Amino acid sequence: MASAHYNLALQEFWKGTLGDITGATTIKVRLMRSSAYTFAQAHQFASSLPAAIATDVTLGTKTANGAGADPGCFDAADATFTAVPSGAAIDCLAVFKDTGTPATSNLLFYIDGFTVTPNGGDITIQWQNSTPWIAKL
Amino acid sequence: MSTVTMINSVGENAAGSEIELPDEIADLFILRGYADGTLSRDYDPNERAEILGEQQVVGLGG
Repeated sequence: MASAHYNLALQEFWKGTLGDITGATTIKVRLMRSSAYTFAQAHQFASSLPAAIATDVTLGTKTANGAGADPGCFDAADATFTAVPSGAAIDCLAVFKDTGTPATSNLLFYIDGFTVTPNGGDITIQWQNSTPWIAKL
Repeated sequence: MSTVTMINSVGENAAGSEIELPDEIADLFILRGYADGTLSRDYDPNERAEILGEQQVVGLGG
């Protein structure tokens, strides 16, 4: 599996129903293990995700232009997950619009291609510093 | 309590926000580079090394 948009999120982008995700809309990131989650285009909401390994991170300093350099690219400050319990490798994550209710929280992007074995400390995800940053539409 | 400005997004604390935290947590965030602010006290090298020791960083792409 490669990183991907959720098609049902793209549908909502086109319909304009997701709001300004760079504004007050709460966008969160969840760390996951591919052993516990298989990406599927049929997944629309965060209720399809496995339980959080660590507290989901609320993204801040969000832009829709790759930090001013790349229009169409969603970017944000790096995300730090605190005190991630030791265990099997973590190798994927999902970005979603959080409504406070998983069954209505739209999944936006799925990202893999990394692996980190948690040692009980913090894990910081440094987003790519070039296209697609976090994700490009 | 100390006020810090978040650089990284940490848990529910989004980057760019100014938040008030217990001194110990604020100092940890500052020392780890997650936030800007003023330390509540001096930390010796051993303390700093201990605080910094458990971090893991995952760089996505180039």
